[in-house]
Amino acid sequence: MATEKIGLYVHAPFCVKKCSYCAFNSVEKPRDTSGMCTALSTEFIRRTQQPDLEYQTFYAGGGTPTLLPPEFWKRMIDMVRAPWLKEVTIETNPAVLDAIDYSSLHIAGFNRISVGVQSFCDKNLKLLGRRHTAEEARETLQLISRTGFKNISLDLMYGLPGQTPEHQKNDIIEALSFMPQHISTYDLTLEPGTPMGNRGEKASEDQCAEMYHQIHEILTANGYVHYEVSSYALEDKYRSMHNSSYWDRTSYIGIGPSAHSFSGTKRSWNIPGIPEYESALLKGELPEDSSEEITDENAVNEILSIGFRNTNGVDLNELDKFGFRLDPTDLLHTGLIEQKGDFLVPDEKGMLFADLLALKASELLEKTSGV
Amino acid sequence: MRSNIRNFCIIAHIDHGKSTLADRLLQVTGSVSEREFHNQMLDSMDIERERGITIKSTAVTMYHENTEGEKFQLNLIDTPGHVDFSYEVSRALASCEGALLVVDAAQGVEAQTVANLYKAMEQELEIIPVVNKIDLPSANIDETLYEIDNELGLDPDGAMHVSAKTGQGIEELLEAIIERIPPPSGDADAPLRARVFDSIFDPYRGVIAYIRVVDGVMRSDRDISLMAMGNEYRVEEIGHLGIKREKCELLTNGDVGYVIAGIKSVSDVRSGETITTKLNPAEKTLGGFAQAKPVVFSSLFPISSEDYNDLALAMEKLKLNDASLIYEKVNSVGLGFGFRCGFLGLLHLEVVQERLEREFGMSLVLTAPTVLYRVSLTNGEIKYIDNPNLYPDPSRIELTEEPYIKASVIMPDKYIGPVTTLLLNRRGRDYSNTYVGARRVEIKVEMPLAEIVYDFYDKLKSLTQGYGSFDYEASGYHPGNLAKVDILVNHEKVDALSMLVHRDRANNWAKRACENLKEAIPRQQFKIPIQGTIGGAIIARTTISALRKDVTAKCYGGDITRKRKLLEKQKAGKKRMKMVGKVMIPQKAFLAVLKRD
Repeated sequence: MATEKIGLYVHAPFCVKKCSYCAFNSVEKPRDTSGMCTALSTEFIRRTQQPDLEYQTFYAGGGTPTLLPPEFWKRMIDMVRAPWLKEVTIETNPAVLDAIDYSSLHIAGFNRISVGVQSFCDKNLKLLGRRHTAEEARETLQLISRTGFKNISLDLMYGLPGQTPEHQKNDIIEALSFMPQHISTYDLTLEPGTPMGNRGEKASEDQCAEMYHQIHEILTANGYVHYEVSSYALEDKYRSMHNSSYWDRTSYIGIGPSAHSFSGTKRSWNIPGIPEYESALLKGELPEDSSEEITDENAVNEILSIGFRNTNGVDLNELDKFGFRLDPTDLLHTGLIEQKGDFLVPDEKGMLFADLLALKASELLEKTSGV
Repeated sequence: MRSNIRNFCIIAHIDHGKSTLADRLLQVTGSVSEREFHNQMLDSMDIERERGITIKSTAVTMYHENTEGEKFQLNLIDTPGHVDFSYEVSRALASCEGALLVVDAAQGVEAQTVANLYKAMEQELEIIPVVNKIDLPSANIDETLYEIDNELGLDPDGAMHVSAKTGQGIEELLEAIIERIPPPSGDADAPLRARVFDSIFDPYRGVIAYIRVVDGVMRSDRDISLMAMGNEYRVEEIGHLGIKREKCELLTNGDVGYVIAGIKSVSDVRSGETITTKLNPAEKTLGGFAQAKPVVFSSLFPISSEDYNDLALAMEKLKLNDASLIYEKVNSVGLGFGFRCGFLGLLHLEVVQERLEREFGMSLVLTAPTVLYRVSLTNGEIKYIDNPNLYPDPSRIELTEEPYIKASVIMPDKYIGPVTTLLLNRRGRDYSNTYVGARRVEIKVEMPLAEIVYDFYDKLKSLTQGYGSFDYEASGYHPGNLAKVDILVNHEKVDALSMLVHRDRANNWAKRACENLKEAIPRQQFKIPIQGTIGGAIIARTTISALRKDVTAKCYGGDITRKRKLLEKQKAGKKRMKMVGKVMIPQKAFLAVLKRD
């Protein structure tokens, strides 16, 4: 039987305190997390019965996954027990108070760690509602590199209210000084319902675009590959495999409240409420909230929505497989993409207009006959 | 003389309870069974029901016994109340001998009440004032009677007090209709003369004309001729108008009913037409026939140029049922093929737009509504201009005149300040005001029609918190100093955005139009200058800055579905935008130029 490559995501829905910009599903950490650990393991076992799945990546996200004990994570990783597991990532929040045992996490099997630094400026950290200072982030980064992690990703946010490109430059220069294998730089998204979203404050669009280009300039000059709107890898081999699998339509299984799964033809998502999630599992059910079959037209729109966000681009052959043809002439006229063989590939500026390109492209789609 | 027939109509301001009163009369006379009954029985179009307005006239025959046990045939002719349809109203009124003038006891006399009363008086109808909604806690019957006396000049002692909602006073009102409204006159032995007061198009039967027989007898299977248009037809079916059509063999003088005669379009048998027989024709028409003249003009374009043929078909079908709609094909540089249309007024325009969108599924761009200007050229020629793009070169113009109206606004006196300011800002002149009740004032003013074609009514409503009412009549042409303002989007003139504006206000107008367009047009990858010009000279400009980025920061597991749905939604939204040169202009932008603060 042919095996299928697949990614695994585990959502730890707890935080000590919610950040001011965050709309992810998380609640305040309870004293006892064992119930959630059991629920996550149960769902994991229930969903991973198929023997023909080839787990390539494991990603512990949240929330704050380091709030669940390293032993739990070790059990989870051991359960995958797959020789082909290549990338095993955990996200962390560099708050010293959390006294995270990074060497245990490393021993548990994590070989990549994503550090939510966000900024090296205390004023910004406060604004974002982060629980750590810039100094703590520096200490944590040093600590992590001493504990044996050889693949560190550093998260930064930009486009913050009051932030200028000059300020932002300091963040990116300092991030570089740690020479992380991977840097993610996220333009602040104002999410409705979050404190920052409600205040509606953010740097101007012009400034955000300027910061985007500045980050690109500095990081590429220092050897990083800008392979996705918000993602830079020090070498190709340090591209985030797990994230890339979202973008190239690899199947993935999401474990935990509100986690999403994708089977290739169907997308489904879990119940968001923690008590409901746990009780569904106790009843012996899958904690699935809802699902959607992906039609060929849906698939093509997904490909376009995602394709122009990364340097792999949109594969015209793949569109053809779903029964659609795209004449790229008008798209090429925008000067934002190039055609490389059968691929339409955005440049650095093109990725900044990915949504516009997707919309233009979707209007140019034609159904090919016979499908 | 047919002494047991009464023909009457109901006139009322919007929301004063005309439809509810009609419903109640139908129920009390047993003309409609409980099972068949629904609200607004006589309004059949969706738009009529939703907006609570009457657009087409119709009629219904009811039977009622008076206290002596004598049976009467009561023909209620339901008419529109809005000024846009005043010609239809006058034809319907001409078919009656009496009118119920309904006044809301909580609202009092309104501008439309007054306007419609005058029309009824011109037809010498017997008028029965009806004070409605007496069950409301806020009803002020004494004040309403005072206004009926003072403002309308009617005898308040003759007013009937009813609640159409609860049915209170309806029996007495029916008695009064029989007692006070005279029976129809007319000569049964004279040659046939029947007045058409409206007609509808039925896809299976063709045109169904609603008529009032004035003289003589109408029978089926006879040849008839339409005296104004000169066409001849054979009568296929005649009948009375109950809740459904009730076929009969003959309609005699005084009767109200319908006729079906293989007529193809309502334009062939317009309101006010006189029907006679071919064999024994009447010598004279009943008079009062006129072609309704459009007063407001706008161009309609399909959002997507490929839909032009569908729009053409839809217009044709709509025209079958709306004789007042006139249109001709136009070609716009930016918008492609469409239709220049003439409407009876803004309500008529809205109704046509809504019907095209709802009944025919069209997505439309409408250009700014304009009025009909009269331009005298230096060579002595006189031209009527309904389209800014056809405005002659100023060097060839001797004089431009614009249509004026005499407007009447009635409102509680506390709003007089802001309303006066509004009217004067809209170039009102010959201003006067008088008290019509203890605390209510009527302002009369003459002003250009162009000043009310957009957002005037909304403004008035909001200034008076809904208590101001408005009506007007045409008052001829007066000189106006006009300038044609063109709008350039990304250096290309968008002809559909050109406007004729009073010269003194052209600069302000252009500035505001540019600002409004800046808000209404989404940013694109390049800078878009927007300019207002008169004769090529730039008088206003703004710039829509270039879109610098269009992407979200994150796209992981759960975001993919969300992103795809957003894409699908945007794609649908783009269908409501029009490409002009390189620029996408949304549908709403074409009216945004008119928005005032």
